[in-house]
Amino acid sequence: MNYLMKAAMLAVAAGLAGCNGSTNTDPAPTSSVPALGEGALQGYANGDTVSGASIYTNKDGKGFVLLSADGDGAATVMHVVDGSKGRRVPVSANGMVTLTYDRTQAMALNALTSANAAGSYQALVGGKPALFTVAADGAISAGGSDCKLSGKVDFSATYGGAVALTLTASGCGGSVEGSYKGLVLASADTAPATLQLVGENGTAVLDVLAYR
Amino acid sequence: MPSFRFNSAARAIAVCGVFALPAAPASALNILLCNDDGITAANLRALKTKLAAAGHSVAVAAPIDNQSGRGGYIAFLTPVGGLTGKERGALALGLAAGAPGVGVDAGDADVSYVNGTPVAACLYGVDVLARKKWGGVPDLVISGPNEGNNTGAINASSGTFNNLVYMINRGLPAMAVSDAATTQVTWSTALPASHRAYEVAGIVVKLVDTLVANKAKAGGLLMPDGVGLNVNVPDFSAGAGAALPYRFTRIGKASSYLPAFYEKLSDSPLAVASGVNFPVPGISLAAGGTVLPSGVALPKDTAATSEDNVIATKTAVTISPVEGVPQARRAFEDAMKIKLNGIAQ
Repeated sequence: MNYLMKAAMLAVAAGLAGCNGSTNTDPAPTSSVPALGEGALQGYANGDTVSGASIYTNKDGKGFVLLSADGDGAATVMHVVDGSKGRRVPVSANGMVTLTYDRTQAMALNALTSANAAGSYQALVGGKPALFTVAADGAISAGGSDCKLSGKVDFSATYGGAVALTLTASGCGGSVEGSYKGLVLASADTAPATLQLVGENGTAVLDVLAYR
Repeated sequence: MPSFRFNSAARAIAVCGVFALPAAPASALNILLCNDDGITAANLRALKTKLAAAGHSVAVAAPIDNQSGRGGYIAFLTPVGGLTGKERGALALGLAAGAPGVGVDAGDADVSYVNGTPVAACLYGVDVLARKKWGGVPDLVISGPNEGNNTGAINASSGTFNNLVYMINRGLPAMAVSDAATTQVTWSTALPASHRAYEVAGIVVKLVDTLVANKAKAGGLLMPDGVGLNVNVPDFSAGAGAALPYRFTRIGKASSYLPAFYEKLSDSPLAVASGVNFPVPGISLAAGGTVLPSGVALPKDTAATSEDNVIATKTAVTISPVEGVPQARRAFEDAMKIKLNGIAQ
Protein backbone atom coordinates (compact mmCIF):
# COMPACT_ATOMS: atom_id res chain seq x y z
CA MET A 1 0.00 0.00 0.00
CA ASN A 2 1.52 3.30 -1.00
CA TYR A 3 1.52 6.49 1.02
CA LEU A 4 -1.26 8.15 -0.94
CA MET A 5 -3.59 5.20 -0.53
CA LYS A 6 -2.90 5.08 3.22
CA ALA A 7 -3.56 8.77 3.50
CA ALA A 8 -6.80 8.45 1.58
CA MET A 9 -8.01 5.61 3.78
CA LEU A 10 -7.12 7.50 6.91
CA ALA A 11 -9.04 10.48 5.60
CA VAL A 12 -12.10 8.34 4.90
CA ALA A 13 -11.85 6.80 8.35
CA ALA A 14 -11.53 10.20 9.93
CA GLY A 15 -14.53 11.43 7.98
CA LEU A 16 -16.64 8.48 9.02
CA ALA A 17 -15.67 9.00 12.62
CA GLY A 18 -16.74 12.60 12.32
CA CYS A 19 -20.12 11.66 10.85
CA ASN A 20 -21.52 10.58 14.22
CA GLY A 21 -19.87 13.37 16.04
CA SER A 22 -17.50 11.07 17.89
CA THR A 23 -13.77 11.06 17.97
CA ASN A 24 -13.69 7.95 20.10
CA THR A 25 -11.06 5.58 18.75
CA ASP A 26 -12.04 2.68 21.05
CA PRO A 27 -12.77 -0.51 19.16
CA ALA A 28 -16.40 -1.45 18.67
CA PRO A 29 -17.90 -3.44 21.56
CA THR A 30 -17.76 -7.18 21.14
CA SER A 31 -19.76 -7.97 24.23
CA SER A 32 -22.66 -6.70 26.27
CA VAL A 33 -22.51 -6.98 30.06
CA PRO A 34 -24.69 -5.96 33.00
CA ALA A 35 -23.53 -2.53 34.18
CA LEU A 36 -22.31 -2.70 37.77
CA GLY A 37 -21.22 -0.31 40.48
CA GLU A 38 -17.81 -0.20 42.07
CA GLY A 39 -16.72 -3.46 43.69
CA ALA A 40 -15.48 -6.98 43.27
CA LEU A 41 -17.92 -9.83 42.69
CA GLN A 42 -17.71 -13.49 41.91
CA GLY A 43 -20.44 -15.62 40.45
CA TYR A 44 -21.71 -17.56 37.49
CA ALA A 45 -21.78 -16.01 34.03
CA ASN A 46 -24.21 -17.12 31.34
CA GLY A 47 -23.65 -16.48 27.66
CA ASP A 48 -19.97 -17.21 27.19
CA THR A 49 -17.95 -20.36 26.67
CA VAL A 50 -16.77 -20.49 30.28
CA SER A 51 -18.77 -19.47 33.30
CA GLY A 52 -16.69 -18.98 36.44
CA ALA A 53 -16.78 -15.19 36.76
CA SER A 54 -14.77 -12.66 38.73
CA ILE A 55 -15.89 -9.10 38.16
CA TYR A 56 -13.90 -5.98 39.09
CA THR A 57 -15.44 -2.55 38.56
CA ASN A 58 -14.10 0.93 39.34
CA LYS A 59 -16.05 3.99 40.44
CA ASP A 60 -16.66 5.00 36.80
CA GLY A 61 -18.23 1.68 35.88
CA LYS A 62 -15.18 0.53 33.98
CA GLY A 63 -13.54 -2.73 34.74
CA PHE A 64 -12.80 -6.31 33.89
CA VAL A 65 -14.74 -9.56 33.85
CA LEU A 66 -12.50 -12.60 34.17
CA LEU A 67 -13.94 -15.93 33.10
CA SER A 68 -12.50 -19.35 33.82
CA ALA A 69 -13.78 -22.86 33.40
CA ASP A 70 -14.49 -23.49 37.05
CA GLY A 71 -13.75 -20.33 38.93
CA ASP A 72 -10.48 -21.79 40.23
CA GLY A 73 -8.52 -22.30 37.04
CA ALA A 74 -6.68 -19.57 35.19
CA ALA A 75 -8.84 -17.01 33.42
CA THR A 76 -9.07 -17.79 29.73
CA VAL A 77 -11.52 -15.08 28.71
CA MET A 78 -11.58 -11.42 29.72
CA HIS A 79 -14.18 -8.76 29.01
CA VAL A 80 -12.79 -5.24 29.28
CA VAL A 81 -15.93 -3.33 30.19
CA ASP A 82 -17.13 0.24 30.20
CA GLY A 83 -20.62 0.35 31.66
CA SER A 84 -22.62 -2.17 29.70
CA LYS A 85 -20.26 -2.31 26.73
CA GLY A 86 -17.47 -4.81 26.65
CA ARG A 87 -14.54 -5.97 24.56
CA ARG A 88 -14.05 -9.70 24.72
CA VAL A 89 -10.56 -11.13 24.64
CA PRO A 90 -10.08 -13.28 22.71
CA VAL A 91 -12.68 -12.16 20.18
CA SER A 92 -15.49 -14.67 19.96
CA ALA A 93 -15.82 -16.56 16.70
CA ASN A 94 -19.57 -16.30 17.17
CA GLY A 95 -19.64 -12.52 17.18
CA MET A 96 -21.25 -10.44 19.91
CA VAL A 97 -21.39 -12.07 23.34
CA THR A 98 -24.09 -11.12 25.83
CA LEU A 99 -23.30 -11.90 29.46
CA THR A 100 -25.73 -12.28 32.33
CA TYR A 101 -24.79 -13.14 35.90
CA ASP A 102 -26.21 -15.60 38.44
CA ARG A 103 -25.52 -15.79 42.17
CA THR A 104 -23.00 -12.99 42.27
CA GLN A 105 -21.59 -12.28 45.70
CA ALA A 106 -19.11 -9.79 47.01
CA MET A 107 -15.53 -10.96 46.90
CA ALA A 108 -13.34 -10.11 49.86
CA LEU A 109 -9.92 -9.23 48.51
CA ASN A 110 -6.88 -8.71 50.66
CA ALA A 111 -5.89 -5.07 50.84
CA LEU A 112 -3.23 -4.31 48.28
CA THR A 113 -0.94 -1.37 48.92
CA SER A 114 2.48 -0.32 47.75
CA ALA A 115 3.76 -1.23 51.19
CA ASN A 116 2.53 -4.79 51.34
CA ALA A 117 2.92 -5.59 47.64
CA ALA A 118 6.53 -4.50 47.34
CA GLY A 119 8.96 -7.37 47.32
CA SER A 120 10.41 -10.26 45.37
CA TYR A 121 8.25 -12.84 43.63
CA GLN A 122 8.46 -16.00 41.62
CA ALA A 123 5.85 -17.22 39.18
CA LEU A 124 5.20 -19.65 36.35
CA VAL A 125 4.62 -17.92 33.04
CA GLY A 126 3.92 -20.13 30.06
CA GLY A 127 5.30 -22.99 32.14
CA LYS A 128 8.59 -21.19 32.74
CA PRO A 129 9.74 -19.85 36.09
CA ALA A 130 9.98 -16.08 36.29
CA LEU A 131 11.62 -14.02 39.03
CA PHE A 132 10.57 -10.40 39.45
CA THR A 133 10.27 -7.62 41.99
CA VAL A 134 7.60 -5.06 42.71
CA ALA A 135 8.97 -1.74 43.97
CA ALA A 136 7.17 0.61 46.33
CA ASP A 137 6.33 2.86 43.38
CA GLY A 138 4.74 -0.09 41.60
CA ALA A 139 7.49 -0.73 39.09
CA ILE A 140 7.79 -4.38 38.10
CA SER A 141 11.35 -5.38 37.27
CA ALA A 142 12.57 -8.67 35.93
CA GLY A 143 14.93 -10.81 37.97
CA GLY A 144 17.58 -13.26 36.86
CA SER A 145 15.29 -15.80 35.20
CA ASP A 146 15.20 -16.35 31.42
CA CYS A 147 11.50 -15.58 31.46
CA LYS A 148 11.19 -11.92 32.30
CA LEU A 149 8.27 -9.86 33.54
CA SER A 150 8.32 -6.09 33.66
CA GLY A 151 5.72 -3.39 33.93
CA LYS A 152 3.86 -1.28 36.43
CA VAL A 153 1.30 -1.63 39.19
CA ASP A 154 -0.84 1.48 39.55
CA PHE A 155 -2.03 1.40 43.15
CA SER A 156 -4.12 4.53 42.58
CA ALA A 157 -6.38 2.88 39.98
CA THR A 158 -8.60 0.56 41.99
CA TYR A 159 -11.26 -1.86 40.85
CA GLY A 160 -13.05 -3.13 43.96
CA GLY A 161 -9.77 -3.79 45.73
CA ALA A 162 -7.82 -4.91 42.69
CA VAL A 163 -5.42 -2.40 41.12
CA ALA A 164 -4.38 -1.63 37.56
CA LEU A 165 -1.53 -3.47 35.89
CA THR A 166 0.59 -3.19 32.77
CA LEU A 167 2.85 -6.17 32.20
CA THR A 168 5.27 -7.30 29.52
CA ALA A 169 6.42 -10.91 29.25
CA SER A 170 9.53 -11.80 27.30
CA GLY A 171 11.58 -14.93 27.00
CA CYS A 172 8.67 -16.93 28.39
CA GLY A 173 7.66 -18.77 25.25
CA GLY A 174 5.89 -17.63 22.12
CA SER A 175 2.39 -18.23 23.34
CA VAL A 176 2.64 -15.67 26.13
CA GLU A 177 5.05 -13.08 24.76
CA GLY A 178 3.64 -9.56 24.68
CA SER A 179 2.32 -6.64 26.63
CA TYR A 180 -0.79 -6.90 28.73
CA LYS A 181 -3.17 -4.59 30.55
CA GLY A 182 -5.28 -5.72 33.45
CA LEU A 183 -5.29 -6.13 37.20
CA VAL A 184 -3.28 -7.21 40.21
CA LEU A 185 -5.16 -8.61 43.18
CA ALA A 186 -4.58 -10.48 46.40
CA SER A 187 -7.13 -13.00 47.62
CA ALA A 188 -7.39 -15.81 50.14
CA ASP A 189 -8.78 -17.92 47.31
CA THR A 190 -5.39 -17.96 45.59
CA ALA A 191 -3.27 -18.59 48.71
CA PRO A 192 -0.46 -19.55 49.03
CA ALA A 193 0.11 -17.23 46.09
CA THR A 194 0.51 -13.63 47.26
CA LEU A 195 -0.57 -11.91 44.06
CA GLN A 196 -2.59 -12.71 40.98
CA LEU A 197 -1.62 -10.77 37.86
CA VAL A 198 -4.06 -10.99 35.00
CA GLY A 199 -4.21 -9.03 31.78
CA GLU A 200 -5.03 -9.08 28.07
CA ASN A 201 -3.06 -8.10 25.01
CA GLY A 202 -5.96 -7.80 22.59
CA THR A 203 -5.83 -11.40 21.50
CA ALA A 204 -5.06 -13.49 24.59
CA VAL A 205 -5.34 -13.50 28.38
CA LEU A 206 -2.38 -14.01 30.70
CA ASP A 207 -3.15 -15.11 34.27
CA VAL A 208 -0.17 -15.50 36.60
CA LEU A 209 0.03 -16.42 40.28
CA ALA A 210 3.03 -14.92 42.08
CA TYR A 211 4.61 -16.36 45.23
CA ARG A 212 7.03 -14.78 47.65
CA MET B 1 -32.75 -38.23 33.68
CA PRO B 2 -36.42 -38.48 34.65
CA SER B 3 -38.06 -41.86 34.61
CA PHE B 4 -39.41 -41.64 31.06
CA ARG B 5 -39.76 -45.40 30.75
CA PHE B 6 -41.86 -45.67 33.90
CA ASN B 7 -43.85 -42.58 33.10
CA SER B 8 -44.76 -43.62 29.59
CA ALA B 9 -45.74 -47.12 30.72
CA ALA B 10 -47.91 -45.77 33.49
CA ARG B 11 -49.57 -43.30 31.16
CA ALA B 12 -50.21 -45.97 28.55
CA ILE B 13 -51.94 -48.18 31.09
CA ALA B 14 -54.03 -45.28 32.28
CA VAL B 15 -55.05 -44.35 28.73
CA CYS B 16 -56.00 -47.94 27.92
CA GLY B 17 -58.30 -47.86 30.90
CA VAL B 18 -57.11 -51.22 32.20
CA PHE B 19 -56.79 -49.69 35.62
CA ALA B 20 -56.08 -46.20 36.75
CA LEU B 21 -52.50 -45.95 37.88
CA PRO B 22 -51.60 -42.40 38.84
CA ALA B 23 -48.98 -41.23 36.34
CA ALA B 24 -45.67 -40.32 37.93
CA PRO B 25 -44.93 -36.62 37.65
CA ALA B 26 -42.62 -35.64 34.82
CA SER B 27 -40.11 -34.57 37.43
CA ALA B 28 -39.93 -38.03 38.98
CA LEU B 29 -36.44 -39.41 39.40
CA ASN B 30 -34.98 -42.87 39.78
CA ILE B 31 -33.18 -42.50 43.09
CA LEU B 32 -30.73 -44.94 44.65
CA LEU B 33 -30.28 -44.69 48.41
CA CYS B 34 -27.12 -45.94 50.11
CA ASN B 35 -25.70 -45.46 53.59
CA ASP B 36 -23.17 -46.86 56.03
CA ASP B 37 -25.44 -47.45 59.02
CA GLY B 38 -27.21 -50.40 57.43
CA ILE B 39 -30.51 -51.13 55.73
CA THR B 40 -32.60 -50.96 58.87
CA ALA B 41 -31.53 -47.45 59.88
CA ALA B 42 -34.61 -45.32 60.42
CA ASN B 43 -33.08 -42.33 58.63
CA LEU B 44 -32.65 -44.35 55.43
CA ARG B 45 -36.14 -45.82 55.43
CA ALA B 46 -37.81 -42.56 56.34
CA LEU B 47 -36.11 -40.88 53.40
CA LYS B 48 -37.18 -43.70 51.10
CA THR B 49 -40.77 -43.27 52.29
CA LYS B 50 -40.73 -39.50 51.78
CA LEU B 51 -39.11 -39.65 48.33
CA ALA B 52 -41.56 -42.31 47.17
CA ALA B 53 -44.43 -40.21 48.44
CA ALA B 54 -43.08 -37.33 46.35
CA GLY B 55 -43.45 -39.50 43.24
CA HIS B 56 -39.90 -40.76 42.81
CA SER B 57 -38.92 -44.34 42.12
CA VAL B 58 -36.61 -45.32 44.97
CA ALA B 59 -34.37 -48.31 45.60
CA VAL B 60 -32.06 -49.00 48.53
CA ALA B 61 -28.69 -50.74 48.43
CA ALA B 62 -27.03 -50.65 51.83
CA PRO B 63 -24.85 -52.76 54.10
CA ILE B 64 -26.59 -55.38 56.21
CA ASP B 65 -24.50 -54.25 59.18
CA ASN B 66 -23.50 -50.92 60.62
CA GLN B 67 -20.36 -50.06 58.65
CA SER B 68 -19.65 -46.61 60.07
CA GLY B 69 -16.07 -45.47 59.77
CA ARG B 70 -15.18 -47.81 56.92
CA GLY B 71 -14.46 -44.88 54.61
CA GLY B 72 -13.87 -46.01 51.04
CA TYR B 73 -12.71 -49.50 51.98
CA ILE B 74 -13.32 -52.22 49.42
CA ALA B 75 -12.38 -55.88 49.80
CA PHE B 76 -11.03 -56.53 46.32
CA LEU B 77 -11.60 -59.98 44.84
CA THR B 78 -13.12 -61.21 48.08
CA PRO B 79 -16.42 -63.02 47.60
CA VAL B 80 -19.30 -61.57 49.58
CA GLY B 81 -19.91 -64.06 52.32
CA GLY B 82 -23.13 -65.19 53.97
CA LEU B 83 -24.54 -63.55 57.07
CA THR B 84 -23.67 -64.48 60.63
CA GLY B 85 -27.10 -63.46 61.79
CA LYS B 86 -25.58 -60.99 64.20
CA GLU B 87 -25.44 -58.02 61.85
CA ARG B 88 -27.58 -54.99 62.75
CA GLY B 89 -29.85 -55.59 59.77
CA ALA B 90 -29.96 -59.35 60.24
CA LEU B 91 -31.06 -58.97 63.84
CA ALA B 92 -33.75 -56.45 62.91
CA LEU B 93 -35.06 -58.45 59.96
CA GLY B 94 -34.69 -61.87 61.52
CA LEU B 95 -32.17 -63.12 58.96
CA ALA B 96 -30.46 -66.27 60.17
CA ALA B 97 -26.81 -67.27 59.99
CA GLY B 98 -26.00 -68.52 56.52
CA ALA B 99 -28.45 -66.22 54.76
CA PRO B 100 -27.11 -64.97 51.38
CA GLY B 101 -24.55 -62.16 51.45
CA VAL B 102 -26.62 -60.19 48.96
CA GLY B 103 -30.34 -60.19 49.40
CA VAL B 104 -33.62 -58.37 49.73
CA ASP B 105 -35.68 -57.30 52.72
CA ALA B 106 -38.64 -59.67 52.64
CA GLY B 107 -40.83 -56.81 53.75
CA ASP B 108 -39.80 -54.41 50.96
CA ALA B 109 -38.60 -55.62 47.59
CA ASP B 110 -36.99 -52.25 46.90
CA VAL B 111 -34.57 -52.62 49.80
CA SER B 112 -31.48 -54.69 49.10
CA TYR B 113 -28.60 -55.45 51.39
CA VAL B 114 -24.97 -56.40 50.87
CA ASN B 115 -22.80 -58.07 53.48
CA GLY B 116 -19.99 -55.66 52.77
CA THR B 117 -18.72 -52.14 53.12
CA PRO B 118 -20.75 -49.03 52.34
CA VAL B 119 -19.02 -48.51 49.00
CA ALA B 120 -19.46 -52.17 48.08
CA ALA B 121 -23.18 -51.91 48.77
CA CYS B 122 -23.55 -48.66 46.85
CA LEU B 123 -21.66 -50.08 43.87
CA TYR B 124 -24.03 -53.04 43.96
CA GLY B 125 -26.84 -50.54 43.77
CA VAL B 126 -25.46 -48.82 40.70
CA ASP B 127 -23.99 -51.76 38.83
CA VAL B 128 -26.62 -54.42 39.49
CA LEU B 129 -29.74 -53.24 41.27
CA ALA B 130 -30.37 -50.07 39.25
CA ARG B 131 -29.92 -51.89 35.98
CA LYS B 132 -32.41 -54.54 37.02
CA LYS B 133 -34.94 -52.03 38.33
CA TRP B 134 -34.61 -49.17 35.87
CA GLY B 135 -32.60 -50.56 32.99
CA GLY B 136 -29.80 -48.09 33.62
CA VAL B 137 -28.05 -45.96 36.16
CA PRO B 138 -30.03 -43.93 38.71
CA ASP B 139 -30.82 -40.27 38.11
CA LEU B 140 -29.61 -39.43 41.61
CA VAL B 141 -27.77 -41.23 44.40
CA ILE B 142 -28.24 -40.18 48.02
CA SER B 143 -25.99 -41.60 50.73
CA GLY B 144 -27.51 -41.36 54.18
CA PRO B 145 -28.86 -39.64 56.13
CA ASN B 146 -26.08 -40.76 58.43
CA GLU B 147 -26.50 -41.13 62.17
CA GLY B 148 -24.05 -38.37 63.06
CA ASN B 149 -22.54 -35.48 61.14
CA ASN B 150 -19.79 -35.98 58.60
CA THR B 151 -17.86 -32.74 58.42
CA GLY B 152 -14.39 -31.63 57.49
CA ALA B 153 -11.49 -33.95 58.15
CA ILE B 154 -13.60 -36.90 59.30
CA ASN B 155 -15.11 -37.21 55.83
CA ALA B 156 -12.07 -39.20 54.70
CA SER B 157 -13.10 -41.96 57.13
CA SER B 158 -16.82 -41.79 56.44
CA GLY B 159 -18.62 -44.45 54.44
CA THR B 160 -21.47 -42.02 53.85
CA PHE B 161 -19.10 -39.48 52.34
CA ASN B 162 -17.04 -41.99 50.37
CA ASN B 163 -20.20 -43.31 48.73
CA LEU B 164 -20.61 -39.75 47.49
CA VAL B 165 -17.07 -39.65 46.11
CA TYR B 166 -17.50 -42.93 44.28
CA MET B 167 -20.79 -41.88 42.76
CA ILE B 168 -19.45 -38.51 41.62
CA ASN B 169 -16.61 -40.34 39.93
CA ARG B 170 -19.15 -42.57 38.21
CA GLY B 171 -20.57 -39.40 36.69
CA LEU B 172 -23.77 -39.55 38.71
CA PRO B 173 -25.52 -36.70 40.51
CA ALA B 174 -25.04 -37.51 44.17
CA MET B 175 -25.24 -36.16 47.67
CA ALA B 176 -24.21 -37.38 51.10
CA VAL B 177 -26.48 -36.41 53.98
CA SER B 178 -25.60 -36.63 57.66
CA ASP B 179 -27.67 -35.72 60.67
CA ALA B 180 -26.38 -34.47 64.00
CA ALA B 181 -28.33 -37.11 65.91
CA THR B 182 -26.03 -40.07 66.57
CA THR B 183 -28.54 -42.40 68.19
CA GLN B 184 -29.04 -45.59 66.22
CA VAL B 185 -32.76 -45.81 65.51
CA THR B 186 -34.06 -48.97 63.85
CA TRP B 187 -36.75 -48.58 61.24
CA SER B 188 -40.30 -49.51 62.01
CA THR B 189 -43.54 -48.70 60.24
CA ALA B 190 -44.77 -47.70 63.66
CA LEU B 191 -42.31 -44.79 63.74
CA PRO B 192 -44.49 -41.68 64.19
CA ALA B 193 -44.61 -39.17 61.35
CA SER B 194 -43.26 -36.59 63.78
CA HIS B 195 -40.06 -38.56 64.34
CA ARG B 196 -36.82 -36.74 63.67
CA ALA B 197 -35.97 -39.21 60.88
CA TYR B 198 -38.95 -37.89 58.90
CA GLU B 199 -37.99 -34.29 59.58
CA VAL B 200 -34.50 -34.95 58.25
CA ALA B 201 -36.02 -36.73 55.26
CA GLY B 202 -38.14 -33.67 54.59
CA ILE B 203 -35.04 -31.50 54.54
CA VAL B 204 -33.53 -33.79 51.90
CA VAL B 205 -36.70 -33.94 49.81
CA LYS B 206 -36.76 -30.14 49.69
CA LEU B 207 -33.21 -30.16 48.33
CA VAL B 208 -34.14 -32.74 45.70
CA ASP B 209 -37.22 -30.76 44.71
CA THR B 210 -35.10 -27.64 44.26
CA LEU B 211 -32.52 -29.44 42.15
CA VAL B 212 -35.27 -30.80 39.92
CA ALA B 213 -36.96 -27.42 39.61
CA ASN B 214 -33.69 -25.76 38.59
CA LYS B 215 -32.37 -28.53 36.39
CA ALA B 216 -32.40 -26.33 33.30
CA LYS B 217 -30.15 -23.75 34.95
CA ALA B 218 -26.35 -23.68 35.01
CA GLY B 219 -25.68 -26.41 32.51
CA GLY B 220 -28.93 -28.31 32.05
CA LEU B 221 -28.10 -31.20 34.40
CA LEU B 222 -29.45 -32.14 37.81
CA MET B 223 -25.93 -31.37 39.06
CA PRO B 224 -22.82 -30.35 37.15
CA ASP B 225 -20.81 -33.36 36.07
CA GLY B 226 -18.06 -34.13 38.56
CA VAL B 227 -19.62 -32.31 41.49
CA GLY B 228 -21.85 -33.49 44.33
CA LEU B 229 -23.05 -32.22 47.67
CA ASN B 230 -22.07 -32.97 51.25
CA VAL B 231 -25.10 -32.01 53.33
CA ASN B 232 -25.18 -31.84 57.11
CA VAL B 233 -28.19 -31.27 59.31
CA PRO B 234 -27.56 -29.59 62.66
CA ASP B 235 -29.15 -30.36 65.96
CA PHE B 236 -32.67 -28.89 66.07
CA SER B 237 -35.71 -29.00 68.28
CA ALA B 238 -38.54 -31.36 67.45
CA GLY B 239 -40.74 -29.82 64.79
CA ALA B 240 -38.20 -27.19 63.78
CA GLY B 241 -36.53 -29.09 60.93
CA ALA B 242 -38.68 -27.73 58.13
CA ALA B 243 -37.87 -24.15 59.09
CA LEU B 244 -34.10 -24.61 59.03
CA PRO B 245 -32.39 -22.45 56.42
CA TYR B 246 -29.79 -23.91 54.07
CA ARG B 247 -26.32 -22.40 53.82
CA PHE B 248 -23.45 -22.98 51.41
CA THR B 249 -20.29 -23.93 53.24
CA ARG B 250 -16.88 -25.38 52.52
CA ILE B 251 -15.74 -28.78 53.66
CA GLY B 252 -12.81 -27.28 55.56
CA LYS B 253 -10.93 -29.33 58.10
CA ALA B 254 -13.00 -28.61 61.21
CA SER B 255 -14.61 -31.69 62.68
CA SER B 256 -15.78 -32.82 66.08
CA TYR B 257 -14.39 -36.26 65.31
CA LEU B 258 -10.77 -36.44 64.29
CA PRO B 259 -9.30 -39.95 64.32
CA ALA B 260 -6.24 -40.31 66.55
CA PHE B 261 -4.19 -43.20 67.84
CA TYR B 262 -4.10 -43.71 71.59
CA GLU B 263 -1.53 -45.96 73.22
CA LYS B 264 -4.20 -46.50 75.85
CA LEU B 265 -7.80 -46.11 74.78
CA SER B 266 -8.61 -45.41 78.42
CA ASP B 267 -6.89 -42.04 77.87
CA SER B 268 -9.57 -41.11 75.32
CA PRO B 269 -12.64 -39.44 76.85
CA LEU B 270 -14.77 -40.61 73.95
CA ALA B 271 -13.56 -44.19 74.29
CA VAL B 272 -14.27 -44.14 78.02
CA ALA B 273 -17.71 -42.66 77.43
CA SER B 274 -18.33 -45.43 74.90
CA GLY B 275 -17.44 -48.09 77.44
CA VAL B 276 -14.02 -48.85 75.98
CA ASN B 277 -12.22 -48.00 79.19
CA PHE B 278 -9.26 -50.30 78.70
CA PRO B 279 -5.53 -49.56 78.73
CA VAL B 280 -5.04 -51.05 75.26
CA PRO B 281 -3.90 -49.31 72.08
CA GLY B 282 -6.35 -48.23 69.42
CA ILE B 283 -7.98 -45.50 67.37
CA SER B 284 -10.43 -43.12 68.97
CA LEU B 285 -11.87 -39.75 68.03
CA ALA B 286 -11.22 -36.29 69.42
CA ALA B 287 -12.05 -32.71 68.53
CA GLY B 288 -9.70 -30.43 66.66
CA GLY B 289 -7.36 -28.63 69.03
CA THR B 290 -7.17 -31.60 71.39
CA VAL B 291 -3.69 -32.34 72.70
CA LEU B 292 -3.17 -36.10 72.81
CA PRO B 293 -1.40 -37.78 75.74
CA SER B 294 1.64 -38.06 73.45
CA GLY B 295 1.73 -34.26 73.15
CA VAL B 296 0.54 -34.19 69.54
CA ALA B 297 -1.97 -31.40 68.95
CA LEU B 298 -4.78 -32.18 66.52
CA PRO B 299 -5.22 -29.44 63.91
CA LYS B 300 -7.97 -26.92 64.54
CA ASP B 301 -9.86 -25.10 61.82
CA THR B 302 -11.70 -21.96 62.91
CA ALA B 303 -12.85 -20.73 59.47
CA ALA B 304 -16.41 -19.43 59.62
CA THR B 305 -17.14 -21.06 56.25
CA SER B 306 -16.15 -24.59 57.31
CA GLU B 307 -19.20 -26.84 57.53
CA ASP B 308 -18.47 -28.12 61.02
CA ASN B 309 -18.21 -24.61 62.42
CA VAL B 310 -21.60 -23.73 60.92
CA ILE B 311 -23.14 -26.97 62.21
CA ALA B 312 -21.86 -26.08 65.66
CA THR B 313 -23.99 -22.92 65.57
CA LYS B 314 -27.13 -25.02 64.95
CA THR B 315 -28.44 -22.35 62.61
CA ALA B 316 -28.51 -23.94 59.16
CA VAL B 317 -28.34 -27.05 57.06
CA THR B 318 -24.90 -26.93 55.46
CA ILE B 319 -24.30 -27.65 51.79
CA SER B 320 -20.69 -28.13 50.68
CA PRO B 321 -20.11 -28.76 46.97
CA VAL B 322 -17.63 -31.61 46.55
CA GLU B 323 -15.51 -32.79 43.66
CA GLY B 324 -14.69 -36.44 43.22
CA VAL B 325 -10.94 -36.18 42.86
CA PRO B 326 -8.52 -34.59 45.30
CA GLN B 327 -6.83 -32.45 42.68
CA ALA B 328 -5.04 -29.53 44.27
CA ARG B 329 -6.26 -26.05 43.52
CA ARG B 330 -4.36 -24.14 40.87
CA ALA B 331 -2.55 -22.02 43.48
CA PHE B 332 -1.08 -25.14 45.14
CA GLU B 333 -0.39 -26.83 41.83
CA ASP B 334 1.61 -23.85 40.58
CA ALA B 335 3.53 -23.64 43.85
CA MET B 336 4.55 -27.29 43.51
CA LYS B 337 5.51 -26.78 39.87
CA ILE B 338 7.83 -23.99 40.93
CA LYS B 339 9.40 -26.20 43.63
CA LEU B 340 9.90 -29.12 41.23
CA ASN B 341 10.83 -27.10 38.16
CA GLY B 342 13.75 -28.74 36.46
CA ILE B 343 12.78 -32.32 37.18
CA ALA B 344 9.13 -32.23 36.09
CA GLN B 345 7.28 -30.30 33.45
